Amino acid sequence: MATHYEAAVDTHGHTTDGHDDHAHAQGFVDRWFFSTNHKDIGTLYLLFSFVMVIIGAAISVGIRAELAVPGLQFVKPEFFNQLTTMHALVMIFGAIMPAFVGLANWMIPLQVGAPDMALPRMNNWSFWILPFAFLLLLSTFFVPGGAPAGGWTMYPPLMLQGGANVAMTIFAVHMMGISSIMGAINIIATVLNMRAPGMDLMKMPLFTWSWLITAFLLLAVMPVLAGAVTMLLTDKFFATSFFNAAGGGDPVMYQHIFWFFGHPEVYIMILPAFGIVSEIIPTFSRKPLFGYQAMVYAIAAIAFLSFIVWAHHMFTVGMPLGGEIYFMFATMLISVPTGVKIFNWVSTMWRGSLSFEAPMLWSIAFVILFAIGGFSGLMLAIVPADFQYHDTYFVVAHFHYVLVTGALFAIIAAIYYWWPKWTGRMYNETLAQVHFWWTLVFVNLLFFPQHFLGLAGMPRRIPDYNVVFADWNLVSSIGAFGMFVTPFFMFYVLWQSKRNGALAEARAWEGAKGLEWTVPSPAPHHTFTTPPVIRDGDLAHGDFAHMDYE
Amino acid sequence: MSKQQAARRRGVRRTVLVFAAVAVAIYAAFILSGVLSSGVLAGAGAP
Repeated sequence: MATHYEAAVDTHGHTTDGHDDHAHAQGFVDRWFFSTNHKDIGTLYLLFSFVMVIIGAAISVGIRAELAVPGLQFVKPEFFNQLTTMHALVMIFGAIMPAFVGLANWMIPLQVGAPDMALPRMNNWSFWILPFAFLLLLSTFFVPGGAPAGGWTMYPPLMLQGGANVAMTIFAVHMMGISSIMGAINIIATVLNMRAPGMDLMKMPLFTWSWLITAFLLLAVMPVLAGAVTMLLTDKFFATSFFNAAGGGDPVMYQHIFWFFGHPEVYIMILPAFGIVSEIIPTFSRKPLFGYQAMVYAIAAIAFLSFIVWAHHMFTVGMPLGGEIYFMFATMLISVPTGVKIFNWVSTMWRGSLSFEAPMLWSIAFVILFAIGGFSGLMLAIVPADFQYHDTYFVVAHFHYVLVTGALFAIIAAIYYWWPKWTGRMYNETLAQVHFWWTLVFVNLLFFPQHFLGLAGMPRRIPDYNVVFADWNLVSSIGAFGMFVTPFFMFYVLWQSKRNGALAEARAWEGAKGLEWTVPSPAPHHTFTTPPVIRDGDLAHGDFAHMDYE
Repeated sequence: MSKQQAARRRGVRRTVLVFAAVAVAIYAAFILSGVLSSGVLAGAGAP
């Protein structure tokens, strides 16, 4: 089938816009350091995220090596606390968020028929802030007093007892925040202003929808984090007492402000994953997404609810009974739109013509394992039960099921799914399946026993523990060591594909729908410089009454 | 520049200005809430 993009290519293979070869004319420095191209910047984000995954995973291997058996093995307790804090900061702000931003950069202009992001130079700036922010953050390992050790939540007064790292960490967090806010504004401006004629909001692919809503979340809460850490900074260096009880301040206020940012932040890391899975499952089920509009409204509902549940992270801090009951039920309410989404993914697969290529395997694993994280979240929402679970390994298990088998699995699914579009090459399906099954086994070995440890009372953020916890800790550590090889293996699979993979067609997957599949593979350096003609049959979702599904 | 491109550019500029202002306002509002609740303005600053 000739696509409308191919129709714009003349018989000599020249495109009518004449811009597609620009990348080849650029030098290395011009292309990668001064890039304003959404695809190149997307690639930079994804590479940066990969480096951060390796660093974060290496830190976690240090943590699990220490915890493999009782007693102190390799690190001193204060350094252990630095490891847990830095692992979280690196993984959240350096790995998961930039990976989603990279995917957004690559795919949103392609999905809405835009030639690029609305603000390409700001896009470059958004990315290039990040490496400096993380150099600054990681360099705290080498300053007197070491890296921050008060947890990624940076609660005062513990955080303020740090040494030189306090100012460095706060400045790094500010830079990450500025990068995220600029990225969010760019995405909102792109989606609201750059859609091709005919690409109505309710025809947009779910991934773009999920990112539009995520961008609003980012815009609303990153300034809150910036405000909180600014006040920390002035408390530390300018003698203010925002969070210092001795000076009339309130340390609990910091916790409220932090979690007003922190809970939506959790959804910032999962809503784009919902969008990705909503792209992949219909493709490999060869059916339209079940309940497209309900999916959009469910994401919006989850985003709204994420603003009004923050204090469920603070039940044990103390609050009026009415507050506890309100935050408990408000939190439980989130399971309604989340349940809608899981129901719709399963219904999309129901009686579909399923095939199980790697992106689909990762997506199905996402649905099942993310649901486990959701259920343990429901358990944690129950106030009296939370008094038992709080600050135990049950919480660690819960949020790793949400963020690793949830967010990270969706990112990996997206990379396998869109890789042929990015590179023009198919990956080796057998190797990708080995990658999947290996990861599935070890990720569950790593995190599932942590539920048992938490329920048995093992506290989090400790370098040593009672011998009764020894067995499951060893199992968990074996899982961590097995998991550590997976990013390297994935890199090998992709490297081998880039060098020797079979050539990919424009529509790399038989059931794939959406504008991105109407451009050649690999996607030319510049696409949609002339707005495409939107044909309902090309669209992934939306007005599928006119689509040609049998 | 076509009329359509000019309209698109105006739209982008307006969107950016509005949302950048929102971000700055939220930042300022949370610090102001901290200032007010810590009693700094009432003279209850750190010793």
